Amino acid sequence: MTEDEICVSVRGVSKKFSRSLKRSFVYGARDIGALLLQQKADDSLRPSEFWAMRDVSFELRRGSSMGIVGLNGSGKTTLLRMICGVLRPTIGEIDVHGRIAPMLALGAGFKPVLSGRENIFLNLALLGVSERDIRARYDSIVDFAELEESIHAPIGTYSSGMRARLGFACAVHTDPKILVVDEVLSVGDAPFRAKCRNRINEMRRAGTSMLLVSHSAVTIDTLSDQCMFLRKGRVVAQGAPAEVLKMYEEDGVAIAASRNAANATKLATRRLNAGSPVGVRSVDIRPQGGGDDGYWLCGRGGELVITLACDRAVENVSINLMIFDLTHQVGETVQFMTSSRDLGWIQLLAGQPVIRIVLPHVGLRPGTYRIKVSVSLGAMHDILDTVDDLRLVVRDAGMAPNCLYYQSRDWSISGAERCGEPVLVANELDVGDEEDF
Amino acid sequence: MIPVFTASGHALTLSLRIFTRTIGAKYRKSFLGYFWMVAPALLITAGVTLANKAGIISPGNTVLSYPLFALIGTLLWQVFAEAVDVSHRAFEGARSYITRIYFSRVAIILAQLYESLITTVVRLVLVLLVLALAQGLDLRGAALVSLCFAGAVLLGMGIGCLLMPFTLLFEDLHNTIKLVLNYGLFLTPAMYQPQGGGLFATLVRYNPVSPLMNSAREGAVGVALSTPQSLVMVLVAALLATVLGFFLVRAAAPIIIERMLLGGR
Repeated sequence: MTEDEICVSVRGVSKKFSRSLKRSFVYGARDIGALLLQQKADDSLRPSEFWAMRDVSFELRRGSSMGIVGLNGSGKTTLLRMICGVLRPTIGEIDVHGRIAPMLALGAGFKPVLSGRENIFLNLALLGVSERDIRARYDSIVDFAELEESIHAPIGTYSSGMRARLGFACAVHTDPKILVVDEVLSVGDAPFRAKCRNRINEMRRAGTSMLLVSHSAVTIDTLSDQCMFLRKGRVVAQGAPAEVLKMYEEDGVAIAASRNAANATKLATRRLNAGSPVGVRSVDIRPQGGGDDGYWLCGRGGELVITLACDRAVENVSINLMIFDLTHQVGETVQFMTSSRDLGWIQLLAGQPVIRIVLPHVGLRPGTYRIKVSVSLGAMHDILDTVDDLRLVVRDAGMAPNCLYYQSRDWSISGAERCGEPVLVANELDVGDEEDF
Repeated sequence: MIPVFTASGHALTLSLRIFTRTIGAKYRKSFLGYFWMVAPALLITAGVTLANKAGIISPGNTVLSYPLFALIGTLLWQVFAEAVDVSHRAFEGARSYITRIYFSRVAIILAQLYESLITTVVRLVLVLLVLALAQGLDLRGAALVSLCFAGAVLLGMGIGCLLMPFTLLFEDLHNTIKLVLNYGLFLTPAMYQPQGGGLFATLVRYNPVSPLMNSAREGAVGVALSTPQSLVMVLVAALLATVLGFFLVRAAAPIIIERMLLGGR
């Protein structure tokens, strides 16, 4: 491969951060001192420091696209920031040939007091576009952002959607050689997201390279030629997207399964709350129809089986389930289900009652989630027992690409007929049969 | 060396573009833009002139009338104090995007400096006008006063750039600098000339802003400069500090920005 063919070259890059904010400032002052004294920067870890990125190397060829996957905290954004030049690697080198359009910074430098027009000139100046080129592209930017009527109004009066449109329009009009995309397609409204997606495709066809970070396996699979899987700052796998994504998802399921197995042992052997007649003995998460524990498939059936230990019969019991997002909006409660609302009160009998929650179509988008199960009593929901920190992985079955959730649906056709099989934008996941598609 | 010049040229171009695009925003929310540039100095001058007339302030040997003496001193200090804060303000103002995209970091400092220069020019024009109307002013006088104001900007910029990497890291240091700049006026010959010996008089005499204030006043009156060597030394030191400061900012920027990204100062 000749050097001309490579637009991003990352060689042996490591990056360290400090966990303590105050220490990081002291280290910063020391590093500046070392710089002034022309001493070599300290590459070893000092107290409270950790490696956020360790020995990462890859090359991005002109016109090609690389997807980067990994759990939160795996170093994806740090890597992008280093490639964009915002952060400097502690060790290693990064060479970038060609202008970058950093989609992780849409609308950088926008000033609310200035008009849309003035902000276009300011933003593009910061992104390195000459005054003459901005003038030449101005009409196209305004047209793309659909802001003809409000372009002379202060940007402070714009809605967040209008600002996102203008930011994206500016970024794609920098004539970049490399697009750096960090979940950018999740901004703005649906028609705008489609427009962004089409524009990115157009640029890709014209030979623009792309680095793409996304939690959606389908997005990565569709838009990338190669894929890199990061775990705790290290490259776990690099290669064809289908293979790497499979490894990434299996890794997520394995982590969730091992965590749940540890929890299961604790649950099975723990002493129940003194004075409480009911306790949770086990919680099993699995795709409907069997399979390994710990995951559901987006758009497919899933079930959660709770086994209780009950000393005596208890009336007016409710089983409650909370699901928290650990991937997209970290910590956000995405689901709250309670049996008292769905079924009415439950009367538990002495022994080991089993409660089964069946989801015909899992609506959660692919990602990792935390599940909290509680057993409560009466209208005031006095808590009898709680089990927290269960892990759930929702795997991608290609049924909800670029969607916030999977919407269960039925199609019917009249005056026409089907002439083919469903086309899933799927990676090579083992998703079972497709009868319920 | 050539890449340094190329980078400097790029920073200069970008800074001018940022400046021309943002200058309108600065005073768009204010109806009395120019007034606020000179109001503090005018108020202090009026206050200390009244105090002087009441015999509370004994300014010592002023070479020109007391209101003019105080006006030149306070305006020059204001110019210096604002220049010290230019680089810190530039980085703080760009916090939202300096941590997200790469561009010449020096450019935002230069753009902030141009804003500060406009204020300086307004203040300088006020001083020159008042001097010309009150007592007459020759070309040499006007040039010397202007040189001293330019020196104050340069000295402030130099000190500010050398301190900025540390003031951004440590809020305590920034607060200390702000305190010194707020009350440091009283350790300069802005409102009185030091008389006799003692620690206070020594501090006032050796304050790097003192030669600038004294030379501006002597230039305004048209008398020979009493400490030309000190003036030259301060100007050379200011130039050197500014150049070194810019190099330091360029080199330290990634380290500072990394910490800004972590959420601290």
